[in-house]
Amino acid sequence: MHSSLRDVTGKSVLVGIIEPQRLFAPFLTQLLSEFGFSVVTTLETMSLDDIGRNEPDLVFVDIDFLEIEPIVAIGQLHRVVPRATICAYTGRNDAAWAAECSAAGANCVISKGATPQEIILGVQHALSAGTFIDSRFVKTEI
Amino acid sequence: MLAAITNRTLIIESQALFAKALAQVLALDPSIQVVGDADVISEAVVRSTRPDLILIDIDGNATDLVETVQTARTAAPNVKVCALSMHVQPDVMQRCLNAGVDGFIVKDVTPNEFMRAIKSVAGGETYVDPRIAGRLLRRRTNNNRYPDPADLSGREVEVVRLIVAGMSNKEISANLHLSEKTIKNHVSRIFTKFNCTARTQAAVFALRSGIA
Repeated sequence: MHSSLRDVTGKSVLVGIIEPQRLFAPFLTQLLSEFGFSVVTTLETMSLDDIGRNEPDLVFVDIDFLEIEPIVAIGQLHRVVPRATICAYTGRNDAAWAAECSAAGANCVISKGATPQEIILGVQHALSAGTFIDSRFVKTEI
Repeated sequence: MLAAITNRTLIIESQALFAKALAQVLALDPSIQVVGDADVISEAVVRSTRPDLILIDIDGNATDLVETVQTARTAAPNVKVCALSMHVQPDVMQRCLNAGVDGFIVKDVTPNEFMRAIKSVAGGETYVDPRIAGRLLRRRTNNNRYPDPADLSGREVEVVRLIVAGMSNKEISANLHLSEKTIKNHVSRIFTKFNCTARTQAAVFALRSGIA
C-alpha cells in the first residue's frame, strides 16, 4: 500500500471511476487505491450528478461500454468537472481515436493493453504534466 | 488439507489489467489454478499451459471466434471454452454457442456469479447468462408460433388473402380500390406482424394459420 497521493497543493487526489464492466470495477478501484489515490466514487454508468457532486480531480472512464457515444461522454464530463483530469480508458488502439478523445476533452488516453503499472504512470503523468497519450496509440497510423 | 486442483484455467484477455483481475477472482477458489494468460490464443500457448478450461474475453479479441475455438480444440481436444462479453444480446451469445463455446458469461455479473458460472462449465455443464437465455427462448417461441389471425386488422387480412392469391401490389390496389402506396404500407405491417421478409413467407404463414 502506497501512502496517500497528493497534488501540488498537498491535497489528496480524488478519483471518480466509471467502469460499466461490473466484474472489473473493483480492480480498478483497488489498483488506484493501492497507489495512493482516494477513490470517491465507482460508477457502472455515466452519472453526471454523482461526478459533479463528488468533484474528483481525476475521472477514470472506460469509454468502450458506455450507453452514450464516448466522445459525447468525454465532453459532458469535461463540462461537469472542468478542472478534473479526464482519463479515457479504451481498447480501440488507433491514433485517430486517441486524437478524437483528446479533442473532446480527455487529458489522458490509456490503452487497455497497458499493464497496471503503466496505467498508474500514465495517470500520474497526466496529473503532473497536464496530458498523457499512451504510446500504443502513437505507434499506430492515423 | 489443501483442496485438489481440478481445473487448470487459461485466460485470454487483451486488457492487461483485467487479465490480472480475472486471475485474482479465480484464485479465490482453491480448485482452480490459473496456468497463464495471453492477449490472443495460439496453439503454442494452449499446448504449453495444458488447460482444462479457457476463458476468453471476446470483446477485445479481433480473431474470429470459430477460429479461436478451433485453435483451442486442436491443441486440447477436451478443453472447455468459456466466452466472456459485455454484450447482453441473444445474437452474440448464439454466435458463441454456434462457434462451440461451453459457456457465455456477461461481464456485469458479480464475482460470486462469475465463479458459479466458471465452475458449472468446468464441471461439464453448459452455462449461459439466464437473462439472455430467457430472451432467446422467448424469441424462438415467437418465431415458431403461427400468426394469430387476430393480430391482423380486417384490411390486412384482405391484403394477405390477395397475396395468397398471387396478386402483385398493383393488382391488390386495383382490387381493393386503394393506392399502391397504401397497399405497400399494409404489406410492410403484415411482414412485421408475421416476422417475415417475403410475400411467399407471408402467404405460407397465412395458409398455415387459417387466415387464408
